Amino acid sequence: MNSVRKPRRRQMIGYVVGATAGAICLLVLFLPGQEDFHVRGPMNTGHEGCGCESCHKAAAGTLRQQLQANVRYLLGQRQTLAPFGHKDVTTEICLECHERPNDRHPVFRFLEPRFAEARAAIQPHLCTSCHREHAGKRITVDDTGYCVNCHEETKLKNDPLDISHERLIAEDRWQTCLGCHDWHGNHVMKTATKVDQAFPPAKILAYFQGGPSPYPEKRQYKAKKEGCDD
Amino acid sequence: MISKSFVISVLILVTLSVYLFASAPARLPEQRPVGETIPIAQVFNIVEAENDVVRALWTKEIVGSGKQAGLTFDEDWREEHVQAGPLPALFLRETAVSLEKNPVRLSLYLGSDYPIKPANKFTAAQMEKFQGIRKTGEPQFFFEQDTGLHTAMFSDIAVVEACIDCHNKHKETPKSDWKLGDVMGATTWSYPEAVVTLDELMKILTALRQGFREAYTAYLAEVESFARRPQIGDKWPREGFYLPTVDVFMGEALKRASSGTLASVLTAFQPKEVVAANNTPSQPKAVSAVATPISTKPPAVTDPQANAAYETPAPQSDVIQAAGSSAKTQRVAALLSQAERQIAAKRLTTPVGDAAFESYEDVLKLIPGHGGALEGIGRIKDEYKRWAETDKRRGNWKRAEANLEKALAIDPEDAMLPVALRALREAQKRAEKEAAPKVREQGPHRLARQESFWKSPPAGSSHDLVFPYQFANKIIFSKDFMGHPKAKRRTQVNVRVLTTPNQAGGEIIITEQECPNDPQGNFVVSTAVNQTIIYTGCAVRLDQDRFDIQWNNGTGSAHSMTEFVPSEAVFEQGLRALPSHEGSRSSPGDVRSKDPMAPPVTRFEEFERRMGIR
Repeated sequence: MNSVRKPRRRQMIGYVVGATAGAICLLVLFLPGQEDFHVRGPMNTGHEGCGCESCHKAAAGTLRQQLQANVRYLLGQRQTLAPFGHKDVTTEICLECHERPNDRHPVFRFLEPRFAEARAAIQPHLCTSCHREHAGKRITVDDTGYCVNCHEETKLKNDPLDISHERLIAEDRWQTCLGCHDWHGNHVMKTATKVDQAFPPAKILAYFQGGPSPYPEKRQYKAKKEGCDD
Repeated sequence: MISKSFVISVLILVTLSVYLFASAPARLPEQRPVGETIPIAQVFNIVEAENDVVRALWTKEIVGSGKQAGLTFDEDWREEHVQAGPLPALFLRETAVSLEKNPVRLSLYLGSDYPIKPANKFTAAQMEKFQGIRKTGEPQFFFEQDTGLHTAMFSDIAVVEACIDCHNKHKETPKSDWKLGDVMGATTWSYPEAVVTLDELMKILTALRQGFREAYTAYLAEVESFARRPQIGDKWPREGFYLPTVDVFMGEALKRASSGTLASVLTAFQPKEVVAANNTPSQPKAVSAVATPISTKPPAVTDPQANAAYETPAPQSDVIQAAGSSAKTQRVAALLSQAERQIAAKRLTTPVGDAAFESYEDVLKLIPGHGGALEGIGRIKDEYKRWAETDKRRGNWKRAEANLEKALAIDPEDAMLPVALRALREAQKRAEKEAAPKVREQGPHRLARQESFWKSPPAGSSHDLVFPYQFANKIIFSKDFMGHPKAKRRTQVNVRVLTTPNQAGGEIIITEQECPNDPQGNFVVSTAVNQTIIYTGCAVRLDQDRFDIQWNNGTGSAHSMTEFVPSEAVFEQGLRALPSHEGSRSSPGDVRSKDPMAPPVTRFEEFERRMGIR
């Protein structure tokens, strides 16, 4: 009898140990406050205070409704898959906090057909092309000369700059653009009229990496949930 | 005896079914409403007509009369030190910004070939479409592959003196001889769906009107900061130093726009009883005029007053005629969906009796100037142009020429087509001159042979991966290979599966929205022999390197294997085993050996060695 029972008991013990270990892992991973265990990387500059739910919004419906909808989809009774758990993080979610009326380069602007080449090159129609989250930086591109993608024909009739924009472009000095103009145009500043007054590209790149801002602190609009502290 | 585990499995399944279905909670709504639909081109016509009316109201009643009453309007109206309102183009821009804030994905843009700001100049394909507008005055409807947006462009005509006056005198203007009636630019609209339900149309219209409202509200907010403020109430600037309130402005705008819109909507969604009761094709003109405001749009207007005809609401009788029109709508809907199927099956202009072009022609016979049919014909033409482009790239000159000629037959007035034909012939001559054997883009794309490309594909760029497999008719990229949205390394890759590049055949072009992921998340490519499929903009994750290929050699015997990107050697072996492959000149191996630029492929060589292929 014993010889039959023993393996059974050991099997049961195995199940219990496995289930307990699994439950502990799940608890450790998904208890509130344990996000560090499964977050992809440090938050970007300014987002340090944001919680997961600031961007990873819960999908519509209960778990059971989501299951049901997706099973119905698999059975051909529904036209689209339903988001499961969380919704995708889309541009719309970024704009909930960062939309403002005077954006110089609003993302949607680049959905127009004529920006096809720019879209292929730098995807300016998506926030995450330059602001990939969980990178611990401010801006996740390594090159400050991306203006080249649209502004090769820029000419100013009454150019206020000591070296004309046209000449800067002809000489391919695309690294200088951000020295006087910020992409989204949110910093309150007077544009320099001499190229050597521009912020040096190295400083701008350091700012991209999360370093101090060369642009003035004063901004026209603040994000609607500054610091995600609500 | 039934095993215990079987019983347990059945019990679990039953419990799950009860959990999910029998005691089910309320169903999640579909992301898109279901119901009767109309083509997006018709929707674009409706929103363009509304926009025209409201913009004319703004331009004449607020800017035109306002200037005489002492108000100012300026391009820098948002600047703190400027006490002015937005010029008409900027009023449109305000509306567009508001539209973008709205979850309804209708977009609006304004551009030109001679814009004041160079950044607003049309380029490439959009400029081509704009030249089409300049030439014909007709709107252009097309599909934008990379964004997956259906798009329409409508001419933007100089209707009042203020337009040309400001543009001619502006210090940055690239053109200073604009005249009244000139096509100064174009409005561009886009929307992600090809067809729209009544419910969605209502949301679109609400969003657009909300846009007008917000644009005007922004202006009134600016007026608050003026040192000398006009009185805001129910009077208009033409009566003195006044401005209407938001409600008065919107009331007038909607009064002018609504009956035209209502007529269009009623015609588009005719109830079936009405259709059955009025089965007489006696008033095609009235129907077309209401259904497709394209034809009601006046040609270049030289007298500003003449445009009033377009602004004034359609007379009520039109609405009645529209509602009471014939069974044609039903027939038209059937023809349109038939045409969609024919396009999907690549039956564009042939065979006679079952081709999309004929279906659209039939629609136009029923309703002259029908927006959906015109758009469809435009799509057929674009399809031929795309095929010609592909043939040209592959050096298949005859077929490229035939396709361009077919496009020209569809639209003899397209000025770009003769140009393209000439360019094609020149390219052919050049290619024949350089008789040297040229490496064509048939082998797996050179990029695909670079280890670095697979390890870290350049973000945000688009690449063609070409798999020239003669007989492949089903290639399954496992879900590990094709990205799911959260994959780490992701890029937009156009996957081309070329089967018989030098034989007669066609292409199926499937757009981003239709990336063929099966329910398991695999990306499945199926072709018939003699077909080329191009998937654009499908998300591909590039940190796995295997996919499965199933094919048959045309006799019905099925083969399958697992392929490692980009080693085509495996597949070549398989091909050689097939009798019909002998003598094929498109063997990928040939191309590869001729490719002097092929970089070292150490990782894959290693892979192949280990697999015992080398």
